Amino acid sequence: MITPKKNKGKYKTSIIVQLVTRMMCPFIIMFGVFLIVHGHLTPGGGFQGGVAIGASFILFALAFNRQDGRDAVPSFTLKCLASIGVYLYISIGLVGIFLGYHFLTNKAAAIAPTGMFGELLSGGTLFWINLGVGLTVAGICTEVFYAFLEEERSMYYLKNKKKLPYQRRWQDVDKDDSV
Amino acid sequence: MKKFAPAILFTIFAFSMIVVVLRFAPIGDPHLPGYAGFDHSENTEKEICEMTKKEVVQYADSVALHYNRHSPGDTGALDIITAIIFDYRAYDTLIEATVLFTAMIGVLSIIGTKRN
Repeated sequence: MITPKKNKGKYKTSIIVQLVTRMMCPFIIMFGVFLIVHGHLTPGGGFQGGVAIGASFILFALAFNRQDGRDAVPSFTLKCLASIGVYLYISIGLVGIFLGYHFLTNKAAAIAPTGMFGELLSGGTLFWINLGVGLTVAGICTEVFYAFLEEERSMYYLKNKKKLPYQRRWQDVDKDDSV
Repeated sequence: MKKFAPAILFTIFAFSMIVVVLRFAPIGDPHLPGYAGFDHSENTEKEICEMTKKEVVQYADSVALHYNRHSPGDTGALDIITAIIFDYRAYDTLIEATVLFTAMIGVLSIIGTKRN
């Protein structure tokens, strides 16, 4: 079970919700990984599995605290996940060019793993492309959720006549602990 | 002239779109070539220039049948949907992923989050 740190904020949910969330989050993540990895064998794929993984992060943040969710999956990690997914997709496409075929060639380029039909490591590039799309969608879902969750701070800035987040630099945001 | 240019452009685009919509086939007709399909095995040796007009239309619309028959051999994937969106239309999915990524960059640059 995931054990979060002690809540820093005032937002609290009932202990039943917290316990069920702590038990279910690993299984939801595992189901998302299953959807991504078996994308070329069963219904599902990168988008659906990525959304399932992102939903588990969002559930964690909703059941506990925004800051607890941020501690579990930092913003930097999520941005890295999204970027790595897109770059994995593009680099898999470029392998086809380096082998002398078109961009994103699958069967003709014989990019590994081309195993037996119906096995896990079959389908050529589909496996890696599913992985890339899954990482991208998981990172983006959670990051955009947090961005919209923290958007309400802007009213605070308007009331106190401070600069809005997009008008400030990152150093100022890091220094400001009042919010 | 600046006032009338949008109106002229609008009429041109609206007219062309209405013309296209009027030429649509009836939706859901079971006798449409897209639903009926087209047998590739009989006409493999026939060139497109030798076909009749009806056969050419059927040939163009029988993509679904081609996916059904040849996607496991072409891609090596059991799931036809994954084979279509990640292999036959991989460019489309690539642009989808980059559009999502760009949307995230836009949201973060406008709203902004703390680093942790």
